[in-house]
Amino acid sequence: MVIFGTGEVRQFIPTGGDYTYLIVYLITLIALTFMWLFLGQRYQVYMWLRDAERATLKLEAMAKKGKEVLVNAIKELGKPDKDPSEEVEKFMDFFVIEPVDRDPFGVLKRLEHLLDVEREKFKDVVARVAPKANSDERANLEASFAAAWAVNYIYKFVRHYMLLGKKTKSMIVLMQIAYSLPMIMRLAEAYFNSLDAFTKGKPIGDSVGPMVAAKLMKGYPCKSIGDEIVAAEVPFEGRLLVVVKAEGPGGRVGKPGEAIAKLAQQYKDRLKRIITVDAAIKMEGENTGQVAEGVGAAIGDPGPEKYKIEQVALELGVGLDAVIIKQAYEEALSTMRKELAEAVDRAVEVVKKIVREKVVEGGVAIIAGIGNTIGVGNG
Amino acid sequence: MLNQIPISSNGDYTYLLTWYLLLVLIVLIIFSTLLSATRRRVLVTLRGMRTITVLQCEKCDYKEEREFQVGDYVLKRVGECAKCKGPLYISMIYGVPEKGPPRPYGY
Ligand SMILES: [Zn+2]
Repeated sequence: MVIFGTGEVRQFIPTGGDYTYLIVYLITLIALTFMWLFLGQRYQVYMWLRDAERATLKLEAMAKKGKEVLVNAIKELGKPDKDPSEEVEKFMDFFVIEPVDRDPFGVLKRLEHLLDVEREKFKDVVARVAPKANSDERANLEASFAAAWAVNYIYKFVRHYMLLGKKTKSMIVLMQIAYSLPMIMRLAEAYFNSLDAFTKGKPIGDSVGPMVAAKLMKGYPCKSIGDEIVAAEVPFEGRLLVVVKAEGPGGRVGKPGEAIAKLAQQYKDRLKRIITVDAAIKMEGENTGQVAEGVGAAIGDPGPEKYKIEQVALELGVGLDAVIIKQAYEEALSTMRKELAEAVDRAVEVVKKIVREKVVEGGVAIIAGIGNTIGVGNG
Repeated sequence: MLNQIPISSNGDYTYLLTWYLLLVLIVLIIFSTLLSATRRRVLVTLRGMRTITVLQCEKCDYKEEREFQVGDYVLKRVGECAKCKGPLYISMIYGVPEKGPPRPYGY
């Protein structure tokens, strides 16, 4: 068999041999390389798709179970006359449209209004499905509704991208969803696990802020000051601490910004410091339960409450101190870990230290425990 | 020059190629199953939690731990101290991850 032409090339090829197998060998090699190039890509897409499908299956199971847990809690606490499943299912499509920010003037006011309406909506649905639950149980059910909604939303989100990728065979869609899955699943699991705490009224990681406030106000009379917030006056080494937290032990967050602004105006003659205590998401590598001290308003709301605290501090010229207790995202949402429960006492000491340093005797400090007060009483 | 490469000009090496292809396929399959197996383990993990309620006496250093009961909350007063009959309150409630392998969830 002759493969090359005549001339100079010929001298490189030995004469008399049969090179069929060598050619077959080379062709196979080249074919395989090309297969690897093109099929490899296909195979990658297939792997991504399979990961997304598997995650969707798992999320579907979680969303279903989440709704089941919620329905059971409603039945147990609210003793409704009819089955709440339908109402729960209907609520899963609930949505909030964010205010337009192209014209940012007054956007926080509008956002606050929307958040108020959202909160009202949650209250309405819980009142409807669980008429016999008491106020704390209703607050817990509201939080449970939010958690079940979140799991369901994540499920629908992942399913959407999985199906979209399947339909369009788009590598970028599938790659994005596949590579985001570890984070998404962590989030979904955090919300799913929070259902156990929310339905049973156990304190969660986010409750460390209110728990610090509760420990400070323990033994002193506290009264409700509106917006689901309670406050107590606590004398401390010649100073007066005005301690603020959401009304426990139901799963409430309240409107701490509003309350702080109100109290700051009330005590403005002697007010020296506003200290906010909150849970904060730690960075990977940091320890759970680490207490850190900083400056600013430690509050993780969408904006309005934080704005009010900063505004009143600026207006009255008082310092803003922040104390945070670090934890992972999933720890903030699930039953409080031991490290966090123990960190509360350390955070109390840090708050006292700040008061001693920054507030002269006879002065007033407002101390706000920010966060969901589920499972934490009012002292 | 080409004669030195161990490819025979008259021997039958078709079987070698077949083996080569098969080997590549086997390696591919093993690799992909291993890869997907490790990924699955990352995806399916949910841990159970045990919740502990810690009771403390207001007067002395008496401390007691028990399982969480629905209705417990931090700073709730619960009966009296076994040592000095002082008031007992809940000082903390915390969750402990269950020991053992993470329990698979879903399918
Ligand atoms: Zn005692």
